[in-house]
Amino acid sequence: MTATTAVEGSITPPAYRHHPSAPLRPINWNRVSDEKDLEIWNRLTANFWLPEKVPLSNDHQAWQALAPHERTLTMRVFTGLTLLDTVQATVGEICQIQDARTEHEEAVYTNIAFMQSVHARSYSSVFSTLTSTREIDEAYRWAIGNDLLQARCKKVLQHYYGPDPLKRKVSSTLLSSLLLYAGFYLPLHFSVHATLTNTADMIRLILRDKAVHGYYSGYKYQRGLEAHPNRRDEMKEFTYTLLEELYELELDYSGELYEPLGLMDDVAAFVRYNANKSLMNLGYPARFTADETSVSPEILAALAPNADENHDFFSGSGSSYIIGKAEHTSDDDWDF
Amino acid sequence: MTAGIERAAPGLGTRDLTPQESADLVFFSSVSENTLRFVERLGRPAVRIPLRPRIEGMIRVCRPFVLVVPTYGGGEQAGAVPKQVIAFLNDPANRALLRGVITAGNTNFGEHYCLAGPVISRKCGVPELYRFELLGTQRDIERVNEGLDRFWARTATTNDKNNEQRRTA
Repeated sequence: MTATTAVEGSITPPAYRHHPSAPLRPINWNRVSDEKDLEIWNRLTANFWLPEKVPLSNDHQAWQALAPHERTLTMRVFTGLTLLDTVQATVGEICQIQDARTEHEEAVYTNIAFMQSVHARSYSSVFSTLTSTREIDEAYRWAIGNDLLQARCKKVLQHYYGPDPLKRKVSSTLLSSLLLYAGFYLPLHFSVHATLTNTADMIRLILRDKAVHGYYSGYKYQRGLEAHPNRRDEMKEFTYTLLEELYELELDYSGELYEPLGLMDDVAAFVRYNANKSLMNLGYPARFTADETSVSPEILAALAPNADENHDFFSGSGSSYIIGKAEHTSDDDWDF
Repeated sequence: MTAGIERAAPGLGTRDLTPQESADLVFFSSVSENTLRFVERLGRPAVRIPLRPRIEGMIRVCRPFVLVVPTYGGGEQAGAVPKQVIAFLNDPANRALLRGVITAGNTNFGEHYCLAGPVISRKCGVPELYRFELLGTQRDIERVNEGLDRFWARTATTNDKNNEQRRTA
């Protein structure tokens, strides 16, 4: 469904499929009906980046210093991420265009889709900078042959190609806010140990984008659900069931990868932590308790240096914060 | 449409809240209403900063309050604080009653996680009290509720002492 504008009866191009005789309307950014569309567009364009700007070649020495099994793990994790981002760029975002509630939402998905292609390409930048064609081909063969990785992707693809716009939104939000994180764990783990730090910096740029992508799909899902109040219970049930299925797949998939390094307990906590965030993006309460989602403090610090519990000033003795000196400001320079 | 920071216009389109209306919790929430849902779950009286001050007008509070705000953007300092919050704090009367700030954010934004908190804290000289992600978890709700109770109790004690000192002086 598209927004009504000054030109009654006109359609945006994606609606041609169902209304071929209706007049087509160009996107009009002068009339924005949902302010979130413009806000998100501006955020996305402000956050734009390319892997070519990240000095990945500085990780060369660190890469050589990794044990062979760590290098294999990294290549597999990144090939898995590449597949998920390929799914999201070429299908996940594009398939939501047909369900857009405003013409600007249609444009936002084209932006997000492109950025997902940048993400998919950025993992390849790591490969081509640090490894050989032989190793790369091997990792791709592994990805194609890994049943769990395939199942994770197909679980969401079936809804992308299904008949239900709301289920598409839930699947897309879960991919952006949950499925990738078992993979993101590894570069964060390496950065804690001061290795592959440029690669980790690139992953942080991807994380920043994913937050906006997941937020936007989740926001539009909630707007869509408002239009179908009779589906509230059914969709909540669908969401928690799909989350549960994907969560099980995440544990199985990551278990194979991370157990040999003894990291699986923390990876699982990180997956649950992000599962909760994906639900919150969709407007639902967290599924896992605080204890179940307590990721190791080093990983949390690698993610966001200010995210530790020191920022619960309430529970401290009162000395854990320093009240900033009040600046003398006139109302005119009150410009944050 | 893409106006910059809205300047507060005290006296013009600004509504003075009555002492009954002026709760000790003031919050801003965008149309996504994530922060609204967090505040609702706290179960405490709270006042919302208008989403469209130009149409709805701005509010002026008359009691000390803690501010709950989401962080905008994923990057630069400019734009981290929602412009409606800036408009609200541009009113010196509102700013003078601000006692602390609680911020929502997303750790995916890395070093900019909950950036609105330190920006407001520094600018207004009030403590940053708490940070939470997105809608907040049950643990966040409990900690903030307990924390606010203690915070206001402590503030009341300090005020009593100050008053006593003034009386005995």
